[in-house]
Amino acid sequence: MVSGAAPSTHKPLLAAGTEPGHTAPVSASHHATPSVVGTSPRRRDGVAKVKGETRFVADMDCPGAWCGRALRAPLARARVVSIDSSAALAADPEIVVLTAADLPGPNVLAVIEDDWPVLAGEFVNHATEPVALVAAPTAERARAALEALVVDYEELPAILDLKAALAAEEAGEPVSVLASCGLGHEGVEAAFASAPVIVDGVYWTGHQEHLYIEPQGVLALPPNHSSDGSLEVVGSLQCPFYVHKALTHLLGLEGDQVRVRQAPTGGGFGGKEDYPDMVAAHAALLALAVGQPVRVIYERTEDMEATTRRHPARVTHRTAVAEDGKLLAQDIEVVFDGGAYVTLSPVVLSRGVLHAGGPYACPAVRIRGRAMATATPPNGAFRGFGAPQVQFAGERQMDRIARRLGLDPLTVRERNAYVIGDTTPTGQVLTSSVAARECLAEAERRTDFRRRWREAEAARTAGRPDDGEPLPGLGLALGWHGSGFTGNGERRMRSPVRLRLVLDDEGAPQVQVRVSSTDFGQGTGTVLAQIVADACGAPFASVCVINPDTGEVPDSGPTVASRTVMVVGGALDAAGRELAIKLGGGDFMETAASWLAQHGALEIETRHEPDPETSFDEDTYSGTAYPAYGWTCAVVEAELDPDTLETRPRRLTTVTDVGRVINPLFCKGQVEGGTLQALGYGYLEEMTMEAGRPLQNSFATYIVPTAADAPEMDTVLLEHPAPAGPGGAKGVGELPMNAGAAAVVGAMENATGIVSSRAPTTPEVLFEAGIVQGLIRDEGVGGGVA
Amino acid sequence: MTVSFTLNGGRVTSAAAAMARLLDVLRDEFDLTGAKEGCGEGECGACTVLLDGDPVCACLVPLGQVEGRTVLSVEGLARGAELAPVQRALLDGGGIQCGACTPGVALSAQAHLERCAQPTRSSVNEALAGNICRCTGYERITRSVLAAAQCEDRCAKSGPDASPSDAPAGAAIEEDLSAADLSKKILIAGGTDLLAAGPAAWDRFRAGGEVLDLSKMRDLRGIGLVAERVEIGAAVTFAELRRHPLVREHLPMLAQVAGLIGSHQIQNRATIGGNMANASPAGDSLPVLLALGAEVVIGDGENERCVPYAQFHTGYRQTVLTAGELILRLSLPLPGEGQHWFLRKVGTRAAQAISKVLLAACFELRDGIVVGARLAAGSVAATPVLLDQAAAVCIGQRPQEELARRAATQARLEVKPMDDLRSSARYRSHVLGRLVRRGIMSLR
Repeated sequence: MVSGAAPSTHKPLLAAGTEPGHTAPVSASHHATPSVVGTSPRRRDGVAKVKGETRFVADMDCPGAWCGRALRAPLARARVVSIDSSAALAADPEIVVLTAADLPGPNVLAVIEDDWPVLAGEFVNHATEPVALVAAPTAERARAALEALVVDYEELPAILDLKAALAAEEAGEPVSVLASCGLGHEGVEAAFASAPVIVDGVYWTGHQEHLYIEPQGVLALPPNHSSDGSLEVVGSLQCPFYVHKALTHLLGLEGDQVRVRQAPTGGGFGGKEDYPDMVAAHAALLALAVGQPVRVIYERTEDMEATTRRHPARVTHRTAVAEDGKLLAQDIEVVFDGGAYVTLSPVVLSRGVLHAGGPYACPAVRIRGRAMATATPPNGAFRGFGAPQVQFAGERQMDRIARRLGLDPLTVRERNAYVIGDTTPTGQVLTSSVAARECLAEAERRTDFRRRWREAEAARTAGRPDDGEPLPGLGLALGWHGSGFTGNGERRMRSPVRLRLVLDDEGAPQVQVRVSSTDFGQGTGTVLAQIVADACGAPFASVCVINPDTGEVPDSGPTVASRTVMVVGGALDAAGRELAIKLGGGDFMETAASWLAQHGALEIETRHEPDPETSFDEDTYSGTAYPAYGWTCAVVEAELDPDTLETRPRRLTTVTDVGRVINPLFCKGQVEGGTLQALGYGYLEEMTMEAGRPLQNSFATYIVPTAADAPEMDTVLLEHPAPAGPGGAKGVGELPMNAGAAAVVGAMENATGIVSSRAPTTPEVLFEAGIVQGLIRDEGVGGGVA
Repeated sequence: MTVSFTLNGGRVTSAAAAMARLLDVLRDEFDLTGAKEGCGEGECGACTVLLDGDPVCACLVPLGQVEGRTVLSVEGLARGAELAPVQRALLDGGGIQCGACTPGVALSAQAHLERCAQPTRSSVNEALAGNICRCTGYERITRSVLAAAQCEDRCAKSGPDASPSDAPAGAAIEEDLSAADLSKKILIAGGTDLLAAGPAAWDRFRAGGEVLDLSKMRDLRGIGLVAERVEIGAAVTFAELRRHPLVREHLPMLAQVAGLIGSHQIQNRATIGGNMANASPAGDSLPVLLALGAEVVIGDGENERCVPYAQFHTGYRQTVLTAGELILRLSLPLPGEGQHWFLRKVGTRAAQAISKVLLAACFELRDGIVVGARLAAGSVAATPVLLDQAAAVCIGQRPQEELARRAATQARLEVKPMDDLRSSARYRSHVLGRLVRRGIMSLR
């Protein structure tokens, strides 16, 4: 039941009927088909992908498609004085140019607040904001047209980053707060007043770029070119119904006049959650204006400069602790850089605040959060969604506490990690599926962390020979992540899912899974079929997941928030069991064939039904914030070069509990890929902003790990089932992003003694911190060193 | 003019411009869209194809250079319905997630399995370092490739023409430089800098002018031993340098630095002459050539002149080359008795990185005394620099801590590092000092 190589102690898998739950488990016992849940069948889209046959949106054959492009503002804030397209149109009269003045309806992409313009109107609020759109029959002509547009700007003063926003706020100058939220217990002040030890820390995290390999891209077909007379949009995207909503709102169309299909999507990580609304809006506006299909494919630099990134953050901790390391009180302030518009910042901040205390029990907690505006592109969804920032800070703070008390990083976590029965800062009592300590224990068992960490500490403090040999260091971090939407999100949506029993092309019964969940690499197109096959007793091969298309599937919600397997999969599990009951039991293919012969196609629609016993109060931030949490421990073994301070992670051990594992291979793939992104966030992925634009705007300059950088990975899955998900499954997508960054910076500290509070900690950051902390002596000549 | 080449086992012809990117030709003309455009600058590897069996980034290959050669795209990897072993391994081993990097990964892996008799985890990871994957964390890719290495038929591929060629790159057609028209507008060797210049440049190339393909010039190719010196043609690629027995034996520092430049895709295309002519202060081979005491032979088609390489770079991206002149070859002295070398590249990551600092040094020791020293550094000034004063400090001294510190201090005074998007002046200066010190201490 442990999917790693070595055995481990953990709770038995939730068996049918053994624990009360509003969603009964997968693996109904009424059929003899062997269970496919818990196995790793080939991914459904794998053969086409490995043969290069998969057609991403840039690869699709679409005769007559024009090329759409956006003209982007060079300044961070400005008034648009004039836009002159006469030269461009004179040079190439066939092209189409659109500005905000040409929009048929409201100039807005509807997200949370309707403040995100499709095209800048009178004001530009961030560099790279789209100011005009161009379509031309070829890419070359579109590029020429862009270069021929003349825009006159009047530059305005701008707050360009979080530091500037905080400084302005401190000086009492006007700043814009996009969102705020928080919670606080009585007794926080009293706990600090009587605390034996108080530990303070301030932590900064930077932008992080998704760097999906396939850039943003959308193909829009105007009604006269689409298959059914609707405006048809095909794109690289995570959330077809988000795009659908944005387009109907923008264009004043009815729901059935717009159809959005997901193209095969070459990575998302949240970057294709919100931003495709923009790309699709541009493509659709141009397609309607031209009367031809229009394809918008972002160039890499455009994608990196203009689209969303992870919110930079400053997180301030003040922690009251007992001498034995037990937490007595936490006072935490979370400040995010939201960028120029609200977009998703309120919900990113909310998740950040709710995870800021870390997976640790603490009797008195105050967490205050706010997202501030800066004149930069809106920061948006990115795997972890506010949690990686606060957990980098929280885990570094735990290391700081440990060092203050003379404890090792593992011990301080063991003494505080949640167990069943503990209460989170929102007052949620954790009643099941809590594996924080089990993750720590298994990680310790596999890595011998405590002994080796202490050895490295001792070797360092004793003084190592100056032989140029790399300095070994270990770092450990613990992470948690709430599965599904925050608070009442799932309750409001009650996501519908649909199964349809039909005859396939060869006359055999086929179960079609109709949901809006998208597969952009995770493998959910395979995993959801596994859940349904087991639930209804159908052979895996007879279950087929329909490509997400708003004309074909119900809105089972966006593919975000680690919700697909737990929420959508849970509803599909219920639908599958309902289907089996409807067919009356027995061999699935036989009973399905006879049903189809007698009655024709059968459709089952069910909805996700959240636990009626729980609720969340959004005003007081109290109650059940998430129906279940995943847990992960990451141990990074690294080598630091004594001359250059370069970090080389050599081995990564992760122990992760996401409840019942549907597909072990894919689940490990999520953990490993997510953890490497977290490592990159921790030690490599620097993004420096200048005048509101990133200097690192290309693959050559924005540094993510290559295969040669990646550590060897030992990936262990524990299975502590949660009643909320199918068979006890929780979400896995984002959790791995929450521990790796702090672990790699912890390894640097173990190797060098230098304490860094910043992600990423590049060699330059470590060098400067080392000088400040008196641990690095710079001989002080040349290069501007005083 | 048309270009003929072997594509996935069949002969094909394209009428596209000589400077059209192979990537565009494959995708637009042959409807082979397995090669993806992820970055357009040879960094992501999503457009990897095999050219005569070697991985290259199709976005950096001008069509004219594939004349007579063999191209394998991912569409040619499977044997009909049957997947190649490496494809099967990736599929079964969890090496595929979003699929955008997958075609390139499969081809780089295939090339490695063909080249390398006993692939290891580290050899596989080095071979795949030019293929960025943002989904998997690489673990399952690496394991898949190692699993494929266990297949007996791991090297087998589709058509008879698709087998890798042992001939050096550009061997398909050879021309004499004497017959070439040097006044042509576009001179290209490996193209890795030229074609990475972005869409505006591609439009210009497609539209403009005649191309002189230096990689086809017999006079610019080859590595040989001539009168106690190693001579290296300007169009020799880094992959050739990395592998060449003569270079490995006599100039191991040059072989090593060749393996540190870019990715395998870049090493298979980029040339030593191109690295010099491009004249970036971060060009990795340049400090090595300085430290080795190279001389450059320059010609204009009629006359030749020989310039000490130390005098070649005259300013930021400026060289002694005048209009109509070409780098023909390099001439390097064979190292004598008592020679020691030290090379450290400090890049932004473990592989496929642009340098923050690079130090190359050659020392000559007699009876424990330094009697000769040449130290050179990259990315710490407007040009690659010889650290003459630091070298002078070493002469006549024993390599001890005190000397190492003095030389390090001196080296830092000889450079002018900058703050930029890759590093800081303070860090660069500090690290240069540490490396000089380490280099000298390594002599003990």
